[in-house]
Order: sequence, then structure tokens, then C-alpha cells
Amino acid sequence: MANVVRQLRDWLLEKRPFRIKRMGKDADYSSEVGDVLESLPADLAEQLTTLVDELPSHPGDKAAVKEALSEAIARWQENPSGTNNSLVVIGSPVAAVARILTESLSPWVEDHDLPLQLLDWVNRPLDTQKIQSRLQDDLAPEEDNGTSIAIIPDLSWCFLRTAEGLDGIDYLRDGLLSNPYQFWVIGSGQVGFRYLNCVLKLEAHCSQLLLLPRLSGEQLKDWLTPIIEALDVRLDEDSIQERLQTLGEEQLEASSLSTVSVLVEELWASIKSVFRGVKDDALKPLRPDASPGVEWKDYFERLADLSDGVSTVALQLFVKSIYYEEIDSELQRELLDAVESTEDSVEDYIDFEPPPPHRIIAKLPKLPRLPQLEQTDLYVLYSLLVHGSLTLTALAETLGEERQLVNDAVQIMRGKGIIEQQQNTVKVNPAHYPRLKRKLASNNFII
Amino acid sequence: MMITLLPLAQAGRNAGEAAENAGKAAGEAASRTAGQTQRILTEITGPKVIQALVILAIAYVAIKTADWLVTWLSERVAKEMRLRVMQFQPFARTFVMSLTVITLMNLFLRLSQENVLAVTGTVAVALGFAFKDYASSVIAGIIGLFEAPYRVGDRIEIADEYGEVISYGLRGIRLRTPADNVVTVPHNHIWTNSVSNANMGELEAQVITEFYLAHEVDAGLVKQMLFRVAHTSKYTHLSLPILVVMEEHSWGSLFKLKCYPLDARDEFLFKTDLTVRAKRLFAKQGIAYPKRFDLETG
Repeated sequence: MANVVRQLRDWLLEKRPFRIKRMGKDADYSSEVGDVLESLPADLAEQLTTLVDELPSHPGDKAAVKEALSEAIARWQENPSGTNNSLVVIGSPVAAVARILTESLSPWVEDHDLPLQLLDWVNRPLDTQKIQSRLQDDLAPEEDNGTSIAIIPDLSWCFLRTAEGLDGIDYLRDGLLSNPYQFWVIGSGQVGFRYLNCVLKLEAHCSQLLLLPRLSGEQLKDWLTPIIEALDVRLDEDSIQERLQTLGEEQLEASSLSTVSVLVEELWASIKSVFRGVKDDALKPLRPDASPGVEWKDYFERLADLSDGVSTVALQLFVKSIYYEEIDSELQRELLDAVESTEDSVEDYIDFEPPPPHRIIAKLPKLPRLPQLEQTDLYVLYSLLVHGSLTLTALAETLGEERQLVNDAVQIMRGKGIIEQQQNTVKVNPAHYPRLKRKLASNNFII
Repeated sequence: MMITLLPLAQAGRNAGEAAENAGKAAGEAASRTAGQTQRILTEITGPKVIQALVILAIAYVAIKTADWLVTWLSERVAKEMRLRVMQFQPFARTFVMSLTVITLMNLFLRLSQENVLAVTGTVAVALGFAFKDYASSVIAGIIGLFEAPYRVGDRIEIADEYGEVISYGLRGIRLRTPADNVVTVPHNHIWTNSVSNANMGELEAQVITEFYLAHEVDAGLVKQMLFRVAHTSKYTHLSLPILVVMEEHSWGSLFKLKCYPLDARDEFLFKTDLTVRAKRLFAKQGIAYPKRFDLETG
């Protein structure tokens, strides 16, 4: 049975790479992440893309899901009822919660022998009126009183914010979640779930909610270290200087920013960075044995602050922060001369590896500035966050506008880098999510 | 004959003297007024006129800059602060205008205590006759700044017009109506007439959308559909209450959907969106409208 879950994950990766993969960028418009990849030699760019896409979901997320699932199912097995038969895993709307869920469930299912009903969709049915009937076909319990586990990897595929697009959730809420002999594991984006909870009071029918934990700098460091080591990414030596400059620049930038909250957020991240830097600098002489990893600590703390601890956002900011630098031959010769002039033993020369002709450097991460957005743009972006990703037709339906008008707005925002599109599917650029979230929240949107 | 003519000649002389005296008095009064005016007015020179023009130009630029700055800032702060920021506009305009008038008076008038009284008296008389309504509007505008029966950004009904207050001037306000006309209403309207304000400085303004349906419709189903329509509109402020109320009439049932838009400026678009969505749903579900005959007889 575990194979089914693993197969679903692989299938999703194959069929929905734009939504599920971490580097599923818009191919037609250059983004800051795309620019980084373009600046790298082809082999390094490919290696980086592969490493990022193959990076498993964060162990912290997976552990949290497994722990919550084990506890919830144990409680349900002890006393099956309609009030303890579900677990909703809520992640950021820009994170592929279906991937996190399937990766977390695969090993768990191997250890547990329970009938599994998996909603193996890769997207939302084109005809939203058929969502309910398809849910009925795929998830209704097969036999009476036989216990089973039903899995919906991404709840956003079961609804569309239109007058008839919520019927599927109605059916799920009233018809399925009340069955005590069926346990539900549901993945959902945070914005979508908050919307459904606001209009349908869905939370009242779900026995347990698990909000994926906010990742700390240390956790992000552990997660991204394989990429750093594989590509031999070095931290910019002038990072402290840059950090101080960045503080000044960002303060200036922030003075013209849209809201006071953004200013405070920027300032707070910078102040924390400076304090950490000063503290580390002060402690460095006292800690001669400090490992090289200590230099990265500040980098990842800042990354965690800026990304709000969301792995997908952190990954985008990480890639955006790296750049490629070729070492000129003169500098390389100087380095070799320096080594040769030392009075080390012959054995040291044998082990000595000449420095590579290039290096990949990581600067301090920064959030991209949010472009100027009109109220109509906010409606489009909110709709995308509620659903995770949408086709242009579905997006037009949710907005109650003509497809062509919506496409015009999407193309303008795509040009600004806040929306990404592949074929007909559009989604919000994860790197913009932290600021966009604050902007929407300050404009009365439920987020 | 002579006897009879003498009194007439005497009367003519007297009349001539009286006319002469009256002419003298008028001349003296005119010269007194001229003297007074001369005392009050300073010498009007070319540089002073240029200076005055520069002051007026600066005032104009300052007002436009203040307007632009307030509008720019209000669009960038958090939405709940938008209307509060916009209230700075009338204050800034009034401040700049008052400062300009004082500066110009200082430039052209000798503002001693006597002169101020004289000018005030003269102005009061002039205003009393010629600019009575204007003065009334200006005073009402200043009082309105503090009483705030309407503010910039409010949606009000005044003088048979409904719309959003887009500007608060010295003499009156400007409303943008649903037909996109700009209507100017003088402030003195508030002395004796009522003003209906939909949002009173708040961002939220309830929108009531009416649906006219036949008697035989399933009221429960219609209510459910209207809730769904409100819940799925992009304009709806989901944190605020959504209500459906119903009234029975002889011609049919009147349903009212009461909800709030995220941005009060989208009021009419919101209403249209709700109506379009509801009509589409009604058509699919076969919800009947009142028949023409019923409406005519009702």
C-alpha cells in the first residue's frame, strides 16, 4: 500500500512539476531565481536544479506529520467516532503540501496495515459541478463498518471559489467526515483552509489540525547543507560589511515601502542580523575551535526570518542569494605560489588540491520588493493563494471576469515577477509570498 | 406779481445752497473714505503684485502637492488607515488657504487694530450682501471639519445625490456618483438639511442588493444560494456579517442580500457581481421571477 502513496508522489512530480517541483519556474519570463540559474554554467545550473528538486521535504515537517498522524489514528482506533476521525495538515499556500504529505505518509503506511483510499487526482476536475460526484466515486467507503483511511493530498483540488464550486466541500463535510469508520488525512494550503473555514466552518468538522511548524535557521541549515557541500558554496567573506550596508539600504528602501509593518519586518530582520553578527564577531576570538558552520549560522537565521520559516520560500531565497565567480588565472597562481613558499612537508604537497577555477558564493539573502499592485491585482493574487494554483479559465471563473481580461492582468503581473505561469497554470512566485501575505492581510483579506 | 415771485426765488436759493451743502458733504465723505482706504491700503507697487502672484502660485502648488501626497499616502498605508489619512486633505487645504489670505492681507493692508476693525466691518457688510451664501458655506465647511457629518472617502446621500466624497473644499464637497458624475454640493447644506452617511469614516459600507422573485420560489433554497453567492464573490469582506432578509409583497418576494465589500469604493462593482452571479445561479436552478402582470397590479 505504501507503494500507492509513493507512486502518487512520483506521479505528481511527473504530471504537475510546475506545482510540485521546487524549481518549476516560469520559462518565458526571467525571475531573480531564473537569473541566478542563467548566470551559472549550464552543468552547474542543471546540478543545482536537480539537487533542489530532489531535496526531500524537510525532516521536521515529515516528523511532525508522522507524529500527529500516529497519535490521531491511535485515538480513532481506540474509539472510532465522527469527532476524532480526521487530521488536516496545513502548510503555506506556496508550499507543495501534497508532496510533504505523500513523502511523510509513504514510510508510515508501510508499518500499518489499514485499507487506504487515495484521492489520486493531479488537478481539479475541469467541470467543477463534477467534483462532488467524483469525490463520491473515489472516496465513499466501500463497505459498511469497515475501517479505512482516506487521503486527500491537496484539498484545493476539491473546490473552486464559485457558486457551485464549493459543493464538493459541502459533500465532504456533511457526507464523509461524519462517517466514524473512515479516518481522513487531508493536506491543505493555509489560505484555502482559512477561506473554507470562514464560509463553511470546516474546522468545526475536522477533529485535528496540524499547522506545519515554522523552520528555524538551524533546521534550514541542516536541510540545505547537502546542496552547499555538493556545489561547494562559500559564504561571502564581506558578508558582515554587506550586512551593515544592507541595513542602511533597506532602511532607505523601507521608508518608501507600502506599509509600516513591512518597514518593521525589514528593520527587525536586519537588526537581528547585525546583533547576531556582532555577537559572533565578539565571541570568535574566544572560540578558536569554532567550526566553519558557525559562519553560516547568521545566514540561515536571516533566511528563516525573511522566509517566515517556510521551506519553499527559503529555498527560493537561498538560490537567489548565490552567484558565480570565476577566479582569474593570476589570483590562482598567487594562491599556488603562496602554498609553494610555505615550509610544509612533502606529504602536504601530495594532498594539496589546486583551487578550482571558479567558485559559487552566497550573499546575504534578501526578499524581493513587492511591485506596485492595484486592488484588482490583489483580487487575482488572493484567488491564487486560496487555490494554490489555477488554470486561467478557473481563475477567471473565481473572479467572475472574462478570461481575456484576467489573462491581461496575469501577464502584467507575470512581467513584474509576482506570478509564474506554465502553459495555462498560474501561481504566485513563492519568493514574494511573505510580503504579499502582509499586504493582503492589511487589506482586509482573510489570510 | 413781484410779491408772489419773491418767495419762489428765496426757495430756489435755499435749494441751491442745500444742493451745494449736500455736494460738499458727499465730497467730504468721499475724501474721508479715500483717506481711510489710503490709510488701510499700502502702496501697491509692481514688485508687490509680483510677490502676491508668487504667493498665489506657491499656495496653488502647495494645495495640489498636499492633495497628491495625502492621496498617495492613503493608497499605500494599510486599508483600515486609508480614510483616516485622507482626512488630512481638508485640514491641509484650509491651512494653506488661510495662510495665503493672511499673507496677502499683510502684504497689501496696514493691519493695525483700527484698520483690522475697519476692514472687518467693510468685509462684513460686503459679505452680508454679496457673499452671504459663500460665507455661510465657508463657515459650515470649517465647522464640518470638526463635526464631521461627512469626510473624504465617505459614501453619503446629500441634496438628492448619492456618491463618494472625493474632495473637501473651502466652499463645498465633491461627490462621485454611480454614474461617474462629479457633483459639487456647498457645505451650507448641512445647516438645514439631513446628510445620510453610509460608512461614517469607516472603510466598510454595507451594500444591499435586492432580488425580486416570484411567490412560489423555495425561500430556503434562495437564501442558501444568496449566501453562497456572497461567499464566493471576490469583493466580499468575509470577516463582516452577511445577511439575507426577505419581505413579502403582493407581486412576489423581495430578498435583500446585505454584505460588505473589501473596499467601499467597489460598492457598485460588488453589487453588479452579486447580481450577475445570483442570476446565473437562479437560471440554473429554475428560480422564477415575478410576472409582469403581477408587478403592474402590485
